[in-house]
Amino acid sequence: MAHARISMYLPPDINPTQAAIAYGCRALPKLNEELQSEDLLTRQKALMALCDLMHDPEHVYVAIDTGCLESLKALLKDNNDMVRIKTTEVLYIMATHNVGREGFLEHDVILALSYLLNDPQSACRKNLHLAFKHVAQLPSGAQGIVNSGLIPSLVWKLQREEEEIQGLLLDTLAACLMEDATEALGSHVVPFLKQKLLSTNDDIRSKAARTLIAVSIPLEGKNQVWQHDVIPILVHLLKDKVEEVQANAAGALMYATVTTQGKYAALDTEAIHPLLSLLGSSLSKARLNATKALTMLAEAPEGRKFLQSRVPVFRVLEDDTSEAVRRAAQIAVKVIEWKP
Amino acid sequence: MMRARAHMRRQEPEVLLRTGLPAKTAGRNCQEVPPPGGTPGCRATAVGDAGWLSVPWGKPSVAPTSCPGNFLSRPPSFSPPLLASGNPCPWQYVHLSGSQDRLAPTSLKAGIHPKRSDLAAGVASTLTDRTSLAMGTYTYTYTSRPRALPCQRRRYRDHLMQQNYKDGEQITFSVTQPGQPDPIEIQRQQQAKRRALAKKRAQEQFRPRTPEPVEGRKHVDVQTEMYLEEIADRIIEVDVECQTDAFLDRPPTPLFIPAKTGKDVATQILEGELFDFDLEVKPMLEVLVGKTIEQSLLEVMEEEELANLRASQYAYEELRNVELAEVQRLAEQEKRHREEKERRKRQQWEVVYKHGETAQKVAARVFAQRYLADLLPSVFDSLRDGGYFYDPIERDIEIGFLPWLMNEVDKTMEYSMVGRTVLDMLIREVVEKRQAAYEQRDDQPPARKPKDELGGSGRTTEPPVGYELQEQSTAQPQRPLLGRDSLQRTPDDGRYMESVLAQETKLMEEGEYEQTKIRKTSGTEVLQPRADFQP
Repeated sequence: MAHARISMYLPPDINPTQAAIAYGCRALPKLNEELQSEDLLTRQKALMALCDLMHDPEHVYVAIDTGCLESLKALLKDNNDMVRIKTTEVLYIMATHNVGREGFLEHDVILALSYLLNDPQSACRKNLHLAFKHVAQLPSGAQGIVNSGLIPSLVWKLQREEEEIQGLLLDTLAACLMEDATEALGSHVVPFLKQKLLSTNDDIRSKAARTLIAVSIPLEGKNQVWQHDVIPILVHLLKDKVEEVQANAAGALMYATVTTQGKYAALDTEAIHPLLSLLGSSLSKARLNATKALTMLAEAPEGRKFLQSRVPVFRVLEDDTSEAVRRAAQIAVKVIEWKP
Repeated sequence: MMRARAHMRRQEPEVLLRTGLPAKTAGRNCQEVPPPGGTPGCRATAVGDAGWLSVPWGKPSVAPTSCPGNFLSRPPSFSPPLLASGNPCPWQYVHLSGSQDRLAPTSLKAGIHPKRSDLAAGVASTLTDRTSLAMGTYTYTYTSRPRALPCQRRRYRDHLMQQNYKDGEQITFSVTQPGQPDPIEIQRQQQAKRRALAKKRAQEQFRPRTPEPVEGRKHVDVQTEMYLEEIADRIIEVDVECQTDAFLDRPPTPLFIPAKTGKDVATQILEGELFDFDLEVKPMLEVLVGKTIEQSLLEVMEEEELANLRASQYAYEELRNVELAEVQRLAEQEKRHREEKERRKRQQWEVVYKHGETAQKVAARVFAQRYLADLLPSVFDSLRDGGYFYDPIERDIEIGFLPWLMNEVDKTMEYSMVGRTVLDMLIREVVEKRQAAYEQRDDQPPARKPKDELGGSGRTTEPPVGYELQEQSTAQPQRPLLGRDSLQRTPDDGRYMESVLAQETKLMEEGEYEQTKIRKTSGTEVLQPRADFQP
C-alpha cells in the first residue's frame, strides 16, 4: 500500500541506461554538455537519450544549433565500442532528416565518419553506411561524399564487407555515381559490380544492376561496361526470376547500348527476345526500360529489321497506364519505322 | 509599569535599501526576531502587518499609545555601533516602492534635539498626524542596524514651549528613492504637517494636567511600580569579543530538523479507503503509455515517410533514367547521322574529284598521244638522218676500205706523177743537155752527149722534180699537207732532190717553159700563182 508521505527522493530511474532529459529547451544543451563529460557512463547515457530525441526533426535542428555535432564528431574517435556504435546510430537517425543532412554537410561530418570505415564493430559500420546512404539521397550530399574522395574506398569495401552492408554500400554508390562517376570508374567499379551481378542474393543483384545503371550513364562507363563484357551478363539477368532485377538489368542495357559497340554486343547476345518478353512485365519500370533498350537497338539496321515485324507490340504499349511508357512506345515505333 | 509613552525610537535604517522586496524582508526580519520580553500581541501585529506600520498608525492618537509594542518591538538588544555617543542620530527613512512620502520631519526633528525624551509625545503625535495624512499612500518598512537603545522613557513632560522645532526648519535626511518628489511640494507638505502639529499641540494644551506644585514644593517623578528601576542615561555596556578560529571552513549547515511538535497520531487506512488504485493509476499509465506510443509512432512515421520518399525517389529516378537514356540515344543518333552524312559527303566529294582527275587524265592522254604520234617517225627520221642507222658492211667499207683505196689510188697517182715528173725532168735534162750540147757544139763536137744525157737525165729528172717539190713546198703554203705528204712519201727522194735542187736553181730562170709544163704535169693538185716563181 502506498505511503501517504511523499518521498523526498526523486523517483527511481525508469530507464537507468538513459540520462535524464531536462525540461524544455534545456534538454539538448544539457545533453551536449554530458556528451563532453569525462565519465564514460555519462556519455553513454547521454547518447542513449539523444537517440530517442533525434527522431523529432525539431530536436535535430536544435541539436545542430547547439553544436552537438562537434561533440559527436569527437566521440566518434572514442575507444569504447558502445559509444561509437551509439554515436553512429545517432548520426544515422539525424541523417534521415533533411536538417540533419544539411548539418552534416556544413560540419564536415562525412569526413569524420569516414575514419570509421575500418571499424572492427560491424554494428558501427552498419550504422555508418546507413548514415552515408541517407546522406547520399540528397544530391548535394552525394556530391559531398564524392568530393571527400570516399568513392574509391567505398568501391573497395564492396569486396570486403558482409552482405547486408554491401546492400547499403550499393545504394550509396548508386546515388553518388548518379552525380559523378568518374572517380569510381577509375577504381575498377565495373568488375566488382560484374561479380555482384552474379551473386545469389536477389537484393544485391538488383542493387548492383541499379548501380550499373548509374555507372553506364557517362560515356566512359559505357565503354568500360562493353570492355568488361558485362552486357552478356545483363542479357542473362533479363531472364531472372526477380522482376526488380530484370527491370534494373534492362535499364543498364538501355544505357550500355547507346554506343554502337554496345548495340552490336547486345545484338550478338540475342538481347531482343528477352527484352520483348519484358515488355509484358507488371512492373512499369521494367516495361519502360525494356522499351527504351529496344529503341536503342532499333537504331541499328539489323535491329530495325528484326523489330519491324514486332511493331504491333509497341502499338499495344501505347495504351499503357503510365505516361512515360506511352511516350517511350511512340518513340520506339518512330525509330523502328524510320527510313534513311 | 513603564510609562506608556510612545517613544518612537526608530532604529536607524542604516541599510540603504534599493528595492522593495529585500527591504521588506529585511524589515520583516527585523521584526520577526522575537524581542525578548516584547508583547507577543503587538509583535504579532507588527509581524502580521509585515511592515505596514501605517495601518496601526492610522488610528487616532490613542493608537500609538495603545500599542507601544509597535515601537518597543524594536529589539533593544541590538547594540548599534553608531550610538556610541549615546545621542540620537539622524533618523533615516527608507522609502520603498510606492512610497513617496516621508515621515521625515518629526523624527528628524527628534533626531536633532539632543534630548530625546522631550520629543516622545510630540513625535508620537506628529507622527500620527503625518501618518494619518499619508495613510494608505505608501508602504513602510523599516530596517536598521542594531544599536543600543537609550532609555525609552521620557523624563519630563513635554511642554509645548519646550519644543525646539522651529517652523520652517529644513531637515535634510537621506532617502534612497531615486525619484524625488518636487522640493516645493515637500516644503508644502512639511508646512502642512507643521501646522497640523501646532494645532494638535494647541489642543493638548487644554487637556487637564496635574496642578502646579504648591509654593516651596516641587513635583518629582517617582517610580510607583513594585520594583524600582534604575534610571540612568548611560547604558551599561559590556564589551564581548568573540573570534572564530583562523582559516576554518564554515562547517556545513546541520540539517535542520524541526522539533517535533504536536501529538503523535496514528491512523489506520484500510484497503480502498484512501484512494482507488486503478482509478488513480489511469492517468499516470496513460501518460507513460502515451509517451511510449508517441515515440514509437514518431519512429514509425519517420520510416513511413522515408519509405514514401524513397518510393517517389525511385519513380523519379526511373523517369529520369529513361529521359536521360532518351537524350543519350538521340544524341547518339544525331552523332551517327551526322557522321554518316559527313562520310557520304566525303565520299561524294572524292568521287567527284576522282571523276575530274580521270577526265583530266584522259584528256591529257589523248593530247599526248596526238602530240607524240609523229614522234616516232620523226625520231626515226632524224636518227636516220643523223646516220645512226647504218649498214655495218657499208660503214666498214666506207671507213676501212675506201680510204685505203684512196690511199692506194693516191699512191698510184703519185707514182705516175712522179714517173711523169721524172720523165719530164729527164726530158728537161736531155733537152738542156742537148741545148748545152748544141751550144757546145757550136763550140765543141756533140758526140758524147747521149750517154751523159742518159746518166744525167736520170739525175736531172730528179732535180727538177726536187726543184719542183721545193717550189711546191716554198710556193705552196696553201697546200702544205700534200707537199709534206709528197715529201714524206719520198723521204729518200727528198734528200736526193735537194742535192739536185742546187743545180736546178741555176736552171730556173732559163726553164720557164719547163716550169709551166711541170706545173701542168704535176696534176690538179698544183695550183700556183705565177708570182710564186719569183723567189
